[in-house]
Amino acid sequence: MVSKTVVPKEAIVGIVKGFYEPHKHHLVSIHGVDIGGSIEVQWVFCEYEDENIKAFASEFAYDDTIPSFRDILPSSWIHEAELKDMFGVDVEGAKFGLFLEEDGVKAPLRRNGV
Amino acid sequence: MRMRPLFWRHLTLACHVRRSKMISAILNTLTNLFSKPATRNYPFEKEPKDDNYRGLIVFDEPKCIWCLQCEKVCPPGAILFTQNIENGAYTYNYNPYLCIYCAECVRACPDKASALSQCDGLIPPAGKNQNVNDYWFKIEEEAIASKEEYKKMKALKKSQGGDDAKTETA
Amino acid sequence: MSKTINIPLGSQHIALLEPVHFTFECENEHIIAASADVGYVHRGVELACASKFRFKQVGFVVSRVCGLCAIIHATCYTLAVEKLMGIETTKRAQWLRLLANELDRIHSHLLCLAHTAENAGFEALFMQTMKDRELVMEAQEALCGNRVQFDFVTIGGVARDVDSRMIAILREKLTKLEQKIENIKSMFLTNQSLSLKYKGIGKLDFNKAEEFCAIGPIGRASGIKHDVRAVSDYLPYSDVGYRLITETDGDIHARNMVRLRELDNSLLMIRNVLDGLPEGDIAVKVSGMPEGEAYMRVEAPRGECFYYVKGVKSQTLDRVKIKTPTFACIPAMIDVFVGSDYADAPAILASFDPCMSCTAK
Repeated sequence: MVSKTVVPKEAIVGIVKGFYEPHKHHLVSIHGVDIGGSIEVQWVFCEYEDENIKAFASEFAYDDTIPSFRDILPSSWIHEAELKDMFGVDVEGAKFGLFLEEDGVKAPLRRNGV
Repeated sequence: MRMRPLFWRHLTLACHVRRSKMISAILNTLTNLFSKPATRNYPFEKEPKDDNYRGLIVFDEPKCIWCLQCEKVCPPGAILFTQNIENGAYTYNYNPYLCIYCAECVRACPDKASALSQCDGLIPPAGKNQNVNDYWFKIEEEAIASKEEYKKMKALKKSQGGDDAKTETA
Repeated sequence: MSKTINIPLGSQHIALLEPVHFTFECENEHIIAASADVGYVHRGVELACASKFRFKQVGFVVSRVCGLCAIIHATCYTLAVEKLMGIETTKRAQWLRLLANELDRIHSHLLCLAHTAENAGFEALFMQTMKDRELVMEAQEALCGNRVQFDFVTIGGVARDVDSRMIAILREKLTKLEQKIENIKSMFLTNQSLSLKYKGIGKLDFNKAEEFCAIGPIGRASGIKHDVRAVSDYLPYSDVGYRLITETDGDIHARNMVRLRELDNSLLMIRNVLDGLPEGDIAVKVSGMPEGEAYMRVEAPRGECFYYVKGVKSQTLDRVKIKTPTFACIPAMIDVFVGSDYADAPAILASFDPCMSCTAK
């Protein structure tokens, strides 16, 4: 069963922290979609022992700072680094340079360029 | 000579059962020492290919109905058609070095034509003195340009032909 | 404060098959901190799929993200698009897709076991496993026409059909392979020098594995009961005898045992598929364009592979997101390195089965 919930960006931290249980869920992916003028960031979770995919989505502007979940999900640093590289947005604590070079193309997945 | 490795193999198996690992390891070594190598003696022995190996695409020109579906579906763009400006006839160009042998073009060709098929042939690697890339880049430009020129010429002819008809009836 | 030195396990290394760079901060050969650089082969596949190719061609592009799990990517993308467009394939096509997926799993696990044995110094076992892997490659060549890039799965079904000649070849090769896998398994279980190198090394215990969301054989070796094939019916796994395999120790030996037991299970499933293949067509006609969002998960040999596809009713898709299993296991791998010896680093790396072209797409 797949379900996607759109939440306002101020409430996303509280909602995800309230939802995630380490023994029941695992993090599948953190990714972004350019919806024309802003970025929709999706956090996708799934259960270990059942097929229930739950996605939370929030809309962020290009110059917003996206919150990080490194304290409850230690493995989210790699997803957030990719998000920062691909879209050129600021994510708390993420460093640039996982995939892209300093003097190369910037924010390739943004629709209209940087 | 062919019975010998089998004898050693049976002895190795017996030693496994008796858990004498050292002796079975030594027998394993001796077996491998006296048996044929696992690799093929290339280039004297050719690699055997399966009958259904996916190879080059073969074009049967008399059957083609020039629908250009194969050009549209090819993922790397290995089939291109250039158009003659005078009579609008198409020419088929195929780049076997860009082709991924997926046979999408064979499936896209309509049933009433069936001009494309796949054989199991291969091409040798291109040497340094074959200008594969330059030749194909020219065809890529020509494919787009020739189709556009022909379209423009047709549109021009149509509008000119329309004007002539108007002046005649007037 | 004792002195520490930084030792690189660089992208050129005798024990590495993959382009990855690690920097270990070591104190007397104990690793106390590690960092990784994984983006050597970034090719921009996600951007190419959303701009340069049409949705029917993206299946071929996405296969070329990885050479070992090529058909898994194609299957996952095709299932996501079929979900979007509401297409239902025939039963025969589903069983053939399962056959190709399981053959892929066998050849990938054999490669990982061979590489792990090589890194432990046992080159003879590495060569023997690779020789036995040739049987699977020949079986795949008979089925799909090529050894590595299959191009077998298309939207609506599969590309080629099996006939009785191919089935006979497959049965013959798999019977030979079963005996060889028994030999390899007994080597991994009873050889004393390998157990010195594997038992107790590179441990990832259950709580750490849950914290880092470890998936695939790595998570299953630590005791997490997670497999997409057990909970999801994207392919008819429950009809062919699939079993969930876990171990509890979490060290390199446990990961090898999970892979070896999965090999046995895959062989059983392939035999059941060949016995009970249903009749029918191999593909249905496809018309229309995808619109909307779809999420799809598939079990690759290394773990869970996830695709997010968004279409806007045109020939080109709007967004394709690929999450590969190695990408999700890199944080767990770096955590396992901390606390180990530097000399065990190649064996740990090989047991995690990294696929860098999947990670840096």
